[in-house]
Amino acid sequence: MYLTREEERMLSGEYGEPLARAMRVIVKVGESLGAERLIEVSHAHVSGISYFNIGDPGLEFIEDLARLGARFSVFTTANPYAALVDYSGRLLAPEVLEKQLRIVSALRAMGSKSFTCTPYYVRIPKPGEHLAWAESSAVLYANSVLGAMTNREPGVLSLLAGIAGRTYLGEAHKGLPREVRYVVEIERPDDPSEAGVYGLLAGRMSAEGIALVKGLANLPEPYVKEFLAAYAVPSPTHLVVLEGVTPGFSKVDLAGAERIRISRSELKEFYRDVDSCENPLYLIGCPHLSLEELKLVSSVVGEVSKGELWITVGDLVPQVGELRRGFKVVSGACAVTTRLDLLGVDCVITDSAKALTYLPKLAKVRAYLMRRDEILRRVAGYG
Amino acid sequence: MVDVRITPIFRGDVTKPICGEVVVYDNFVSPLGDLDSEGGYLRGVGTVANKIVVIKGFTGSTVGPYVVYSMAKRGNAPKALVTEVVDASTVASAVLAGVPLYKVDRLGTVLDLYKEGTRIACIEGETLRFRGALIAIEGLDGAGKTSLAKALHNALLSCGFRATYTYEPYSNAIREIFELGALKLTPEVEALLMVADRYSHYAEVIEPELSRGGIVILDRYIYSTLAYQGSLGVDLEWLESLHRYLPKPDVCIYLDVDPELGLRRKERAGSPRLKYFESVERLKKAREIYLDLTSKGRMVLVDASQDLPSVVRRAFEVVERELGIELRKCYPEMQ
Repeated sequence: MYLTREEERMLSGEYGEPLARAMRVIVKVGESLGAERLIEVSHAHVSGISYFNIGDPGLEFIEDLARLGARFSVFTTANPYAALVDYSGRLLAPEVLEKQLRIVSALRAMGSKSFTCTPYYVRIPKPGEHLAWAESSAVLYANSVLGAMTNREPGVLSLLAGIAGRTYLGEAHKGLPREVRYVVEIERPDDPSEAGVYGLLAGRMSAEGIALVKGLANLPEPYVKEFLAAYAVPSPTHLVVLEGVTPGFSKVDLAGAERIRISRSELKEFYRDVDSCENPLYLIGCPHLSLEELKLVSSVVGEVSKGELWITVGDLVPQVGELRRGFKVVSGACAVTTRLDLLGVDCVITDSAKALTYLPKLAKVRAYLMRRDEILRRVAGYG
Repeated sequence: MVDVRITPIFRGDVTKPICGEVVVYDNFVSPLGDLDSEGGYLRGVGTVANKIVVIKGFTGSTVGPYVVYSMAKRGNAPKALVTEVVDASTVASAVLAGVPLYKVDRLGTVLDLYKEGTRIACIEGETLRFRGALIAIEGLDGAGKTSLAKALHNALLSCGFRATYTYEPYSNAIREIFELGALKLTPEVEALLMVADRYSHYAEVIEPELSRGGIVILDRYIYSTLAYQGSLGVDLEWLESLHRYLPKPDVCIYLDVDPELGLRRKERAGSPRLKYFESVERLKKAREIYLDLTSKGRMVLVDASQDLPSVVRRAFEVVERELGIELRKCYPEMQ
């Protein structure tokens, strides 16, 4: 792999061990994936920071780096951590809380600016900007909506890229592909949760290559966000070309692409059995809501009489509205990567198709899907 | 020997061949749930610390690198990782932990060998070379060779290795010649008979097992002839030259015991086998030759005047170290 003189010096340890360590890994990963050189990035976004996901080994690694004096050399944000709030008066074990906070403070010490899965609300990348983002939903958002360029980095690589200010030059950094393998047409979704289900289905059906998706133009931003977050669950891609959304989408050649149609009738089965969740935790905010969405939701919710409603947002989003019983705005945290079963949660009703998929695996609770407006109607007591 | 082609992805600092026990798991490993960095084991499979670990790959890109790094910090990392699926996260794991990483196209071949008990291999360049191993146990009668060989055999089998126990003299015809006095047995004739027996043994038992990647435990081998016939004054260089076409053992343990103690043990056990050889003076001479060979590094000495469990423990350590395998966990008496 070609390295600049400066990069050679970084690799050789001239600027200290943390930087050398970061460079060793990035260079080796790049070489093994066939990258010809590195690329400087302006923003790194780190995933894999929930204690439930990375455990003691992850805590140890991140603390080791911080102790060695590692510092982010470019603007760096990180994913949300495990939810530290109580549910029905119950908290996670003190040991877990302490370890989660140690991960967060080590990342802060290295210079992490924010904890959220929507780093594009913290700092909006410009079209053509090179990033090193992990967190698949944010990667797809950056590439497919903002026209920025980032590999779909593994958690540790994004962390090291933040230190090195570089990552390997993967396909993502070379712009849109000339052609796509699939053209996926969806019917117009009626709500963010529906967009998410379309995303899950489309991701599943086009997992082997890059797709262009028709049907998301001129929709509110949360729809696109939910679609992409869910799309990235079954698909390993870094990009979906969205007709009418992705900058430069019209230049992509569709001639040889496989055509896939997904109709509204395929959504129905995802909304089943909601009534078997009797005392639910309602969850809105996977991915995190923007301040605008939060204001909108907050304006219609009153007191929650049965179960609780959690709205998850980034840590820099200001609290809005007054305190209400059963209504929590959880900032900087992620409910899906929290062992909700340990908080006594039995089941979750969410508007996020991504959360629907991951909650049983990661949070160890049953999960059901509901439209966002319906959740709000229910908890507001109108339903 | 069976060769499997592998592609180096990350070689680390290793320049020599990486040799040792192979562990194969025909599945993806979920690092946080499946790997224990404190104990260095893979759940449902066993220890992976200091072994050549062959897996399909890692699931969940997030945590893999952290767990492998943590294993390395505790000295529990694999010697090398061989995976079918190599992604960015797997490479990051290997580099952070300093563990050499290789890609194998199809895990099936390696898995079949593993299931048959072929579990010792070396990574040389772009080859994962499975091979057998020859463990020879030497010493005077009454030193405890047979007891040790059988303990070793049992441990290897219960660990899942393909292993064979065999002893010399091998053929009954040779025994009969010795016992019936059918030939004029000068020391040289004796030596030639023993060596003939050994070549026959090699062709019929040892070589076929080694070529299948098995471990062969030999109760006496080349150095017995050197010690015993050497003790009768036969030229040692000539004796060695007779063995030119036989492989040297991978591990050779010499159980050292005072001849009189050895003889007393034999008498107590009531087995007067091959009495012909056993005069104390001659045994003392044989012991001198054994000790001389040991000092030249041809064998590893284990003090066999101790009780059997201590001898076995010490000998197992030698085998584990020399072959890069793990045995004690499979031998209940050792724990």
